[in-house]
Amino acid sequence: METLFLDFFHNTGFFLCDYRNIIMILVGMVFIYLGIAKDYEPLLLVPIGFGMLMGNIPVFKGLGLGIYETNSVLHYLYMGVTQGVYPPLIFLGIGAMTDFSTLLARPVLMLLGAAAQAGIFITFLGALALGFTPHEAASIGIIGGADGPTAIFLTAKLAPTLIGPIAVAAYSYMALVPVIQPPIMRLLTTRKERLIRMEEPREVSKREKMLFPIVAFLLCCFLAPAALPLLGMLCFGNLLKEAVVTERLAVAARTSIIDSVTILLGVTVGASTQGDVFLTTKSVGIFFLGALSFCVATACGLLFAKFMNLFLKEKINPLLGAAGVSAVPDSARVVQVVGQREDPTNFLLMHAMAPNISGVIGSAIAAGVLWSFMS
Amino acid sequence: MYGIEAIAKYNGWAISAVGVSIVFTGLVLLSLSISRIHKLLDLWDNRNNIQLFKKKVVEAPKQELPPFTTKEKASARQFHLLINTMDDAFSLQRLLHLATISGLERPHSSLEHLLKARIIEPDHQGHYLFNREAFDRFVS
Amino acid sequence: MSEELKILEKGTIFSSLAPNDLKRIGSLMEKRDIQEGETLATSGEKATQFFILGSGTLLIAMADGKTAVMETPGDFIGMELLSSKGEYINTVISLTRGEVLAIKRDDFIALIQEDSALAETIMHQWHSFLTETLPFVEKEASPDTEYHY
Repeated sequence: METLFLDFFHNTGFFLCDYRNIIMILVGMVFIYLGIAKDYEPLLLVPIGFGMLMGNIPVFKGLGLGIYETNSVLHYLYMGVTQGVYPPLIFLGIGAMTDFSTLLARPVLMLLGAAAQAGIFITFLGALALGFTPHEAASIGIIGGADGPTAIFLTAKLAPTLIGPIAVAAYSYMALVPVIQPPIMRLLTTRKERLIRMEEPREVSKREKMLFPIVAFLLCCFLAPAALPLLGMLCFGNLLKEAVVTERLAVAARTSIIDSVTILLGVTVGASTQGDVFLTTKSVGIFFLGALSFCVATACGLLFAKFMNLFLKEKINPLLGAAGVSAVPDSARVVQVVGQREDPTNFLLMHAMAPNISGVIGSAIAAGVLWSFMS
Repeated sequence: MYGIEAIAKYNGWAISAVGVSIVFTGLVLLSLSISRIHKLLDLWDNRNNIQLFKKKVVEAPKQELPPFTTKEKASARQFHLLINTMDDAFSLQRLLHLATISGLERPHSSLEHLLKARIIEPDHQGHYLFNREAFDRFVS
Repeated sequence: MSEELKILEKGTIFSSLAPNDLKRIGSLMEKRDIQEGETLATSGEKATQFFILGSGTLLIAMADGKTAVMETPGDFIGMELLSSKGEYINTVISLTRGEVLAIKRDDFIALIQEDSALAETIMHQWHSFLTETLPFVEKEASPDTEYHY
């Protein structure tokens, strides 16, 4: 009986536990806390946080419990991440819930979304310089796109072993947009610039909105075919929304489909952060470069807006450049908050949505470009 | 391998430069095309006004109401008598009611005929006015 | 294009709708010949149908003695111009022979309640139609539908 007890004890989490599991469980709890108490991206941080708890329960290898064991349930669910199934489905939902009219009203603001993507390539260079392989460097760089699904999609294709740290870094920084961006925004703009008011956008017709996803899809995917899975689903979702006759499908895409996929993606990405796999020097490098990527992307957007102002008759508020990182709609909200701190009657949110959404398209193109270069 | 050496070895500079250029080109092209969508739609909507596509429209001759027949003139006079018993701005439905109970022949189409000839005109407040000039032209 | 759709396209209310919406409304329409002096709707009776004028002239007799005459093909006789709380509030009489497209009131209301974008377009167009053509018709804050937008 004593042997039985000992055998049982040797299989419990208390015996198998490693200090790295404890650290990751604590990180998971911080994620849950940030999501629930601080309201930082709760729909992502709570599933990822709980996934971290699930992934860091020490289990006896061979029982088919861990996410990295090929016969486990979690492994099957995780295949949606590793095979790149979940991100396009999330893009379908994003397309079905996004109104592109601000973009259509002022297409020039799209350039800010393009400028912010420079952060991806600068970080790519930084990662190469720090000794990462080109595939890993490309996956790290895409964190600067501030787009969780895109980061996961590209990493699944190029460096599947880094999905955990890259996804966690991407989502953490996205949640921390209100903390990371404002100091950079204030540093790179003058008070006078932050006070600039934007002119009212023109009204956009329903037909324009319907044509946009088709034009955007054809144009971007002919240019960068590797962006097809992400942009195809984004534009398809948007067409469902704008076509009106497919409203039922659009409702399904923006509610039940995106919610189900977010749950599965969050939990499995969280569960993939097992202490022994996650806590490595590489992860530290990824977190450092991810933060850098975010800051550089924000700065590129802001500086490009200032550059555009040299040529524009109707000046744009350079704060909008910060919304070029595609954390939708958080970075647009940050622009609104920072702008209103200078002038409470200045409403920048609607204008900031244009670079914000073009950032989504830009980061998907960037991911497609990097994928095609690396394969 | 680290630093500039690693970047150069893995062709990092070229990848970054071309990558940024492609993203920019994509979004600039998209921006240019979507800024033209509404203009193209306007052009399409007004295609009939473009000289090149303008179809030669044979202008239909303006439909002048034919002169009233003797029967119609008599009916118009009877309506006039009824209108004289009412206020300046009168109720059309009341006039129709009076015409019906007075036994006027085909009161509905006669009333419609007077409306078409603008002998009876709306005051845009829900009531109608008698147009003496049109009455004289068609009936007298 | 079917005759119903052609008539719908002539009116200000429906002309700006997308072809698919137009087709959906058209499929609910029933063409009906009308005779001189025929009463299409009687005030106080249960409101069952709305009408779109195809040809001819219709007289709408209102409770306060006011009258509207509809003579342009595509004119819509429905919503608060015709009914309130499920009852006709005005009487519609045909002055000449002609034809109308009749749509069941419940079908029409259900259709615009199911589709918020369509409803919004129709409401806007209806509002401008009433303001321009029949300024004296009182517009209810909430027309004869349960839809709020």
